[in-house]
Amino acid sequence: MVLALVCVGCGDTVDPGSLIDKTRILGVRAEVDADATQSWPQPGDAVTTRWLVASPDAIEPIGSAYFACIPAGTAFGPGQCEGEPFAFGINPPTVPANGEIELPLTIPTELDDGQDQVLMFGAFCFGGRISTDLEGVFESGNPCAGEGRGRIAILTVALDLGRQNAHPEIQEVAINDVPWVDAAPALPTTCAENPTLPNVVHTGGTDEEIEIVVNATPDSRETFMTEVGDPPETVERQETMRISVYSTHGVFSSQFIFIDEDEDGGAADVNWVLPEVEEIPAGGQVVNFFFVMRDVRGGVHWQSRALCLTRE
Amino acid sequence: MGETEVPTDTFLHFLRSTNPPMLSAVRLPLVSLFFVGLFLASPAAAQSGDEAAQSGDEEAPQDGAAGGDASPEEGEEEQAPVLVAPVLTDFVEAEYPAEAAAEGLTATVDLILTIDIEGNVSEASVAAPVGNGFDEAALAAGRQFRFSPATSDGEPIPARIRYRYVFEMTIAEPDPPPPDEPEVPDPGALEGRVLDVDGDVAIEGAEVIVTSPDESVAQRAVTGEDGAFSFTDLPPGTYSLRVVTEEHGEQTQNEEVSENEVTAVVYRMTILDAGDDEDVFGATAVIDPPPREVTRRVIRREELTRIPGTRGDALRAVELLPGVARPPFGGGAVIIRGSAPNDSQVFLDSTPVPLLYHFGGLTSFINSRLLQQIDFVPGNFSARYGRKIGGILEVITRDPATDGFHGVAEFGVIDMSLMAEFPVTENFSMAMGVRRSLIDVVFSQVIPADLFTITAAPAYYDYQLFTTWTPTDRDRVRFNFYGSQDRFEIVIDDALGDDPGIQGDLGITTRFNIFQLAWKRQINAQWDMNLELSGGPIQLEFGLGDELGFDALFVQFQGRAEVNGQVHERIKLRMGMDIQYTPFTLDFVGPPVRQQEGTPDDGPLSAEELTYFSATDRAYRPSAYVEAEVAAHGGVKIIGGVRLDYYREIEAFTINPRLSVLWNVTDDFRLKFGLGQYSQPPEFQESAEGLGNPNLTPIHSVHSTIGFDWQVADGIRFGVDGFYKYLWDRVVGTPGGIDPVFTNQGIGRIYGAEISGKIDPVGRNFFGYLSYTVSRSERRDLPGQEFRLFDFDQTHIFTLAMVYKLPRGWEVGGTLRLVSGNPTTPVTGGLLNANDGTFFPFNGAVNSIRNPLFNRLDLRVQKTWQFDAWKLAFFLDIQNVYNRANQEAILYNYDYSESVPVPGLPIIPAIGIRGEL
Repeated sequence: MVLALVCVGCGDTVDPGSLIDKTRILGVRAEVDADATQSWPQPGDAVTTRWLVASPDAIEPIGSAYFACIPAGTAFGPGQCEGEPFAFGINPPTVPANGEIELPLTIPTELDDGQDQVLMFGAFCFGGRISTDLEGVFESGNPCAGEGRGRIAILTVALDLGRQNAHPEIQEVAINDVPWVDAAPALPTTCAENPTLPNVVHTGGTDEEIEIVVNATPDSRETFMTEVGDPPETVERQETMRISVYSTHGVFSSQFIFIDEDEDGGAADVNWVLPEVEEIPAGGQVVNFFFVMRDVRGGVHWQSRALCLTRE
Repeated sequence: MGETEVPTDTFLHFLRSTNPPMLSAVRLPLVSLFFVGLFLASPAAAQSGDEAAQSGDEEAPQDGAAGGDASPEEGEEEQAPVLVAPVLTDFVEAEYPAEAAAEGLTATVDLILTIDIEGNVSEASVAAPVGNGFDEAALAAGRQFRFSPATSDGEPIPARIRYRYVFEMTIAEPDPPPPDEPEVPDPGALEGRVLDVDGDVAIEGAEVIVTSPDESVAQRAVTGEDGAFSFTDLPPGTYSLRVVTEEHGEQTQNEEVSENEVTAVVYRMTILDAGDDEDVFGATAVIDPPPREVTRRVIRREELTRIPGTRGDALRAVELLPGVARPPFGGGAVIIRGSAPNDSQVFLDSTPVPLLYHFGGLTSFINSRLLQQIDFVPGNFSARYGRKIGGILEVITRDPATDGFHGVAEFGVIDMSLMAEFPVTENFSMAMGVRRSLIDVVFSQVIPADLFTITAAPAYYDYQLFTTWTPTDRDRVRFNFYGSQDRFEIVIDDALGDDPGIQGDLGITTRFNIFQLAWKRQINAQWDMNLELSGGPIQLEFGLGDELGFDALFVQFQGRAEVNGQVHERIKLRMGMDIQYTPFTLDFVGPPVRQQEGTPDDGPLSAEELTYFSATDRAYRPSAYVEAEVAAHGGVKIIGGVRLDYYREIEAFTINPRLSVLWNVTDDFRLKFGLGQYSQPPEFQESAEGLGNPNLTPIHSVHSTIGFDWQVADGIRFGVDGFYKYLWDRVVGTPGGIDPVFTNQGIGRIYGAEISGKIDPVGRNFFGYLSYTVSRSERRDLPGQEFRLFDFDQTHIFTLAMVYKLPRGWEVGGTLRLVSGNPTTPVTGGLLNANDGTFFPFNGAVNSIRNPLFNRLDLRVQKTWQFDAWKLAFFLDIQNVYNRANQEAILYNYDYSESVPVPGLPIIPAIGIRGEL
């Protein structure tokens, strides 16, 4: 394994997952309509799934479709449906408001005993129309009827069978120890059009970087009971916050950072490496950032930030 | 039945006479270094002096044989006495062991003879027992030899020499001679070559005179360009052979000429100089033992550590043999004839080896200089072996030296090692070695610092203690104790790559300590028995954050009882029982287990549901086997056997019949055929209740092989094997891992041909291997599916390895490999796992594309300085000389929309220095 790691380091590299170099879906939040702070619906609940979309440029119209079903009992790999879908829908291409696509879902009232989750498949065509052949869409992996670039996604929605799971919340984002509050503007835009954005100056060095710290609210990390070991033993655990970080330029030292069980302070930090100075236009570059926090049990929260990157 | 005595490629250990102060001065640093190494818990590699002496090459300590290089020590020998080697005057013919003769076995026994000042043999021992009664017979004969004693300045002195006794035989057809014709023995022949010991360079113009004892026959020859000479039409008997050259002086030896046989000899001569007047002389006629298996390939110890690209690691040399696939990234998987690595078994002196390489492929766990040879049986193996459906690799260790203290210290970029061996008493000898890695020193320089926090840099050590006790001529007892540890701990502070599951503490620890006790007894002329017991703890620990943890302690015991006997003049019987008994405790947390092979990447670790499994249990697998070997008329040998196994974990029996037929069409040409059934139990995790399916049945295969071996000329062999294997009841996973997780619905087929060539002419200064395998290995996982390629299917595997020995202690070699790229599964896109922002791959047809052709050239250069009592070697082993970026895998970006090839290991020069005493 060590040799393989070394060899990977010897070859060419691919763009990191944190770089938003095309229109992407960065996260999905399932909100119970009756209480948007809750991520686990009960049977019969109406749910709104919000799909966060980001792009390095203006977001193009997006066609979408979805269906939901009861999962089969697979042990690994992407989930599979057991039986027919209980919900489905198809939407014409539209530019998502606030960068979020909303897809509704109603959980069936009659479920088998022990059925504690449902599957939802989403299909998106960035810049094009979704094929009306839904079955073919999900089998071929290409949901577009013609032009456009497709994406298929799968979401597992856990159900509230007597226990609840609230969504976490990002409390604060700081850049070099300074609170950072500026939400990402719609692209394309310029530094001149956004004079309040914090300004980061590239001094011309290599691998210049800034530190970004993400805090969760104190209530975000809920405790929960789970079974571990063989034979199973019920223990209490506290949620780990997993934060995915994205930017439209530059590279993060890691795409995922964590607020761990045994880490005080409820914060996680990551370094963002500035792009090469030659890539920065004379008038500066607006860089959008997205932070998607997950409690790894279905709860999700995200926030966006932006800064202006200029040359010295 | 004939018997040929061939005087050895002798080196002389003059007792107490050869400049003792200088000897001590050389030995002291090495001995001190050894104990310093022990104190530091540093591992060692070692080589005995007698090991290389057999080969007659510069790996061999040619004591007393000054090479072409004058050392400072040699320069100090201005007052050195004039030494003359002992000369054999009375040869005694050994009695050919009856059972070995019936079996058609031949052997070469190296004797260590101590000759007193009267010329009598005062002590005799076997340097490396070969069994089957040959050791005892050679010893009995050797003790009766008489010599003219060695002399120093004309005064008799005691001496110790190595004497190679070669047993070979001719199977005579039982046709009696016509009664009316007088019985006149047919003549024999004597031929050979005269070489300079330094570099095995042919000596042209040497005068060779052969004289019968009664001087009734005398012939003279002069060697040609290749140093060769030949005498024919010699009546059977003992002849005096005298070799004379101006530069090298004169040497005389007795040679035995047998009826209808050619006695092949090689004389290695040393240039006379002021500091060393003794000649090194000797002869070799190495004959491979006849195999019991259809295909058995042997790498001898003379070659094990000299093959380029192996960094001197003997087990690495196995990858060059026909039928062995190349594991990706230079990993340690042994892939034999298209079988999965777990389908084959590596044995160390009949004990299954828990781990073959440190860190999964870096360096083998045992010091290569303790090995005698490696036997590789790619299929149709004997009933003695079971529980596997692939191939067998038997690593055979040698006996410690009995002729005095020897030591080896080696220092390289990967590790450093020390070894010492010596006789404790007349019939008890011991070897010990330790080795420690040095990669932890350079690891932090190689691995990017921002990736990990290193808490324990990768380090390994291993140790060996081998003893041999021969309380009587009939008994041989070996006790071995060896062990190994690998440890590596880092902290992946932030998630690695696009998988948030790869984060946290990463640790790997493997360690084992194993003892082996083996007793071999020659019961009588017809029967012998073997009792073997081995055992010891094996601990495996692996952890990665909270997502993966494996902690297991196995105490593996294996016992074997076996008898071999001659039940009829043409029938030999082997019967045995063996049992594996393994108490264990195991804790596992990680993703659900799944099919091991033919399963492409199916998503990030973070998307896996965790499985917990704990067990404390014991497994046992008893077996019994019987095998009969029938020497039929016309040079046909038929070996039939059957093996019965029981697997407690699945409560199942298997019965496997096996048949091999060997037909020696001529002395140089043999046809062979094999057909047999083989079985093995499912892997532990496949049949463990709670993880897999306890109702699984054993996996089966049929091996069939047909081929021939052709001795093209002396030292040149060529062989072709065609094989077909069919597998059924393969364990395969259910789609998505749904219950019952695993079934026995898989089948497979493997077919191909292997071409092997080996060139190792006696007396020449080179040897080499040529191997080419063309094969196809396919699997079908579920009924109704199409056959697909096996993960490591490699259509073409071509290897050419040559090693040349040059004058003045230089040796160069190269290994070229051309291998088809491994199959891989194309990924056509990614499915977003919206729960954590990762992607599942959309996999195409399994193993439907290949990596490009792999090609690599490795070189090895070694320079050896030979001193009186020790030698020093410097070597440079360069892997991937032209830095070929061979694609070993494909790296995809986060959503599988882009990919780049992952190259294999770049050019890696490894240097080292070795001192041998």
